Amino acid sequence: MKDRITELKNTFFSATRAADTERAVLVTESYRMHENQSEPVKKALALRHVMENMTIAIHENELIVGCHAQKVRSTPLFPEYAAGWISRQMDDFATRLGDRFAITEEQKATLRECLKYWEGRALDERVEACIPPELQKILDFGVVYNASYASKSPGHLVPAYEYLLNTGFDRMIERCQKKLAALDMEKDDYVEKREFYLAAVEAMKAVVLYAHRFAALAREMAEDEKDAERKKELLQIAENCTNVPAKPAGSYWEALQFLYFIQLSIQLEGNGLAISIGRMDKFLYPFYEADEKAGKLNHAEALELMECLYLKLAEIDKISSNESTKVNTGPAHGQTITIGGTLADGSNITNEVSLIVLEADRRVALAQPDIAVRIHKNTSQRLIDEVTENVKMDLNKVKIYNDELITEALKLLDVKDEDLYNFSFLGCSEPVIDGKTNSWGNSGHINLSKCLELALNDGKCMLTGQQMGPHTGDAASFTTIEQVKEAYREQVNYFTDVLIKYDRVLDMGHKMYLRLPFCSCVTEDCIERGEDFEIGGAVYNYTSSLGVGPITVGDSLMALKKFVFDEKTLSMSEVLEALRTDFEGREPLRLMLKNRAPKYGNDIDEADEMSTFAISVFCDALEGRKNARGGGFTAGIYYMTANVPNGQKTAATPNGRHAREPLNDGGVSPTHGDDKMGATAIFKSAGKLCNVRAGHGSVLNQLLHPSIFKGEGCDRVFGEYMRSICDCGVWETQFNVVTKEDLLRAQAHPDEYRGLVVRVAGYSAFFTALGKEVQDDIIDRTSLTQF
Amino acid sequence: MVFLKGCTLRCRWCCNPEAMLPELVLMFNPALCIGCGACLAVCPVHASGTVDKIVVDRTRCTGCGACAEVCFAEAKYRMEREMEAEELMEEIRKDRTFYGRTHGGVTFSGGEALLQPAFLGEMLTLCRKEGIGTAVETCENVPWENFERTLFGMDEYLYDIKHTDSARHREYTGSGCERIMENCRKLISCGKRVVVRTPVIPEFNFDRQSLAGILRFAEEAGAEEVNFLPYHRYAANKYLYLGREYWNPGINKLERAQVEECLSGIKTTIRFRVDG
Repeated sequence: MKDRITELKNTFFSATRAADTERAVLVTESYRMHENQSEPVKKALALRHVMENMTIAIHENELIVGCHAQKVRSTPLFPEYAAGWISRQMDDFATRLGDRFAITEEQKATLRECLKYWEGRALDERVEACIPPELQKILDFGVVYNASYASKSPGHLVPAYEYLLNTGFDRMIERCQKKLAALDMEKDDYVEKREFYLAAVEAMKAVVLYAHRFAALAREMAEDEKDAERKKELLQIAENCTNVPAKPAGSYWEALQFLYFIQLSIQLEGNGLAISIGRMDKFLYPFYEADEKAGKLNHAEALELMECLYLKLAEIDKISSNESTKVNTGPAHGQTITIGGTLADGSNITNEVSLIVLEADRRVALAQPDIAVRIHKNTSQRLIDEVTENVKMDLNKVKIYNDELITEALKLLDVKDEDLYNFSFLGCSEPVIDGKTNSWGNSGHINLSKCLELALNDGKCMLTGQQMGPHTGDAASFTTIEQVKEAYREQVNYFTDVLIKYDRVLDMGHKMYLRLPFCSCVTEDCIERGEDFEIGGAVYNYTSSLGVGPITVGDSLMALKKFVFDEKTLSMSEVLEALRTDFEGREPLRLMLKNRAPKYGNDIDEADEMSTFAISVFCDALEGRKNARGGGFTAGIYYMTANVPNGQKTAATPNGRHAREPLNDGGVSPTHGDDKMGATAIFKSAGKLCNVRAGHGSVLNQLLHPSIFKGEGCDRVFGEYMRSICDCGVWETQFNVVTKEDLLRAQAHPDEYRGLVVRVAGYSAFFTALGKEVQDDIIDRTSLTQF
Repeated sequence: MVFLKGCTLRCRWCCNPEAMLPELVLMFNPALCIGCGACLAVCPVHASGTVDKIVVDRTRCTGCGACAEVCFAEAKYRMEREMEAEELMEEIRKDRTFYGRTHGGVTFSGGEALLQPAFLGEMLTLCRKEGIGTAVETCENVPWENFERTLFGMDEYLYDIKHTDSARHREYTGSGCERIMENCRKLISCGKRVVVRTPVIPEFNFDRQSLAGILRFAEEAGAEEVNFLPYHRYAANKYLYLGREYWNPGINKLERAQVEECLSGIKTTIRFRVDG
């Protein structure tokens, strides 16, 4: 790796994750000054005030410039979205369990001053005031949850990069001004539209101004620069920032700089997550190709610039509330780059940029950006081989997606034929049409396992005795598994309905109080329609809610079916009593439920059908429902760490899981330790689920030991294996190559790692079945250089 | 992989001791035992010890598996299952999606898969019919007739040559190696693809002379290549669970580099590699 990247990485790692109050102060100032303005214009003026006044810097060695906050890895705050939690929790920032941020007493004092203004004005309080108390009462049970959208901008979007890079803001501003001039004052939406266009123009001008500040700074620094090479770079940076985003990108370098300004501006306008990059190999390749042909760019330079961009993307961080931190821990905020897939004519896309995206990730290897790879039957072997390289390097974030399956799913979401090929991914596994979608991805979740608990207890929580759901009957009197399934369906319907109603209120709250003029500029067809992103200006408007713990439900139903209803070896009351008391004094019963009933993940049809049922009930409940932007609801069966807090609120389950233990992870990963038939069986099981109906995807995590890459031809086999996973019908797979730490954990908690295979000298074994001595030896050897 | 039970050799280092005997065997992992005592009630020969100390009394245990049936903790379990060809085929078919892509298929191992030529033949016929690739991992100490009965359907042989000195071979595996070497030559002359595999074992063949002998044999016989598999003790727990002592040469493992070092300087034209 060149020194530049090493240096930049050193700067990154020596920086502390810290809070930065500058943005909060500037936004508050602006809102104070412009109280009489309309909501969209207030928002645009606030962005302008930030872009005009925030401290900027060009750090040593940087080729792509831009600042998210004053220092590397410091993070702005967004009091206009939620002020309450910041005042209550700022003292915890530096000490809480997950995601700590340094904050000084002085900063806290500054923040308190700002927050005073937002009391009663911030989005979360205003939205909260719109929630009917009878709905709030049910929300408080915690079976459904959506803190994110109540206190954040929606995020979860992919800007229309192809259009933006080839158009530039000057022409887009002109377009807005023409639209503005053509508005009819006699129309009832005149003011609404006028304010929209005024705000859009203001927002784009703010970003251009921000770029020009960097141009001026670069020029100034170039004057004082002694090193001729760096001076040249600074002058080029100055030129780039003068040109973009005002003008169309004129080179590969400018395209990357343009992209970074957009990523930054979206994330300075609002605090939403998963601001994704879309199909980089599609929109960036023409710039690469032109520069390369003109002899202006070689592979090494293109790679270095990409690496510089990655380091800048990695700087973008978010401070979340203590509660959100539990659900979604870590510095990955879902800035996802998608590569692979097809072009409009159905041909395979793989090009130099696809490969550079992967190569840069191997060299930079930070938590951000995420990389999604679309695999289909014509995906080139070159791309597959490169992906294998990334997986081998323990880059746990490369995710592979099943193109054919997802295309079918998008058809069910009414995506137009001409757009079907052009999807990319957001933070987790939600497919969106590039530049045209307001996805409201990851918009709250429902604890499906809790719904089963309530179904088995007449709607009452087994942990507290509280009546949470509808009365669905005394389960002890059920005589068929169908009755259990029906009761589960009733509970899921009830809580999904609650979640939908809640999501709709949040959506309407956003519509009333929160506009995103800049997001509207980068999303088609907001400008054409004169409609804000938050109002429904995007071509596609979805809301996706997540179902947590479906496999726990499926395996539980399977165990009940087998022991209570088919074999009648257990009575329902006996099982219920055991669940209510968390199997106290009934360990053999628990083990029987856990080890003697067929489980999902082993390619056993009847078990897999139960998990399919658990998911399809949730899909049924969402089907046909409309959100407040004219779009539909769809399900997502993925979650980062939400299985842990949801598990904590769930009593023991009939799959042999103890009360408060985590639910199944990832989304459609088997319960740890229940997968006993190896990796291929897991994929077969996952492929049988109703994946096509969960339109925002499902996630399967697979743990790999580096030893599987040993030996001749293993890379090729792994590549074919990835293709086979798609053949099985799995939506998305993420490989986690285990580290020493994982193995130490596996030694201490063998139950969670029973599926982990290690290979040595032609001999494969389950890691947890090995003796301690041998395990210790493997742990010693588990590093990438050894295997 | 399909492991068939029963073997004619008794290699001291064997990694699949549960498959050595054709009889049923019971495994017992005391760490998983919760002491519920369910096995005490069902054992027909009183081989499960007492409530205070659950064991497997190997002098009495017949391997019937009655205790495993009721051991929900899976401390007592059996690793084997009696199956008909069609039943096994059903399992093999489950992974068919992966065979085509990876040019893979099913590998029969053991024990010694060739000890059950009738069953193996039946399996091979079925696999052939469905276009599934086949290979066998064999220690080949069986009558040539057993090979002949399965020749028609086997694509590849992973053929263990452990030593070329018969006396040494007998000392460590319980049997000489003449028949093994002869079968190997015959197999190659039948036009079969044979990859020689050699576990490299301390005391036994971890010396330049022994390994050179194996390479020389493989070269003369016309094998595809030789794979050396350095010694390890991954099977130690299985011996523990079988209640058997595991041979210990006083070395826990051989590193790939050690084997490579031992092989260095040997002149041969056959392709070989060391797994690690």
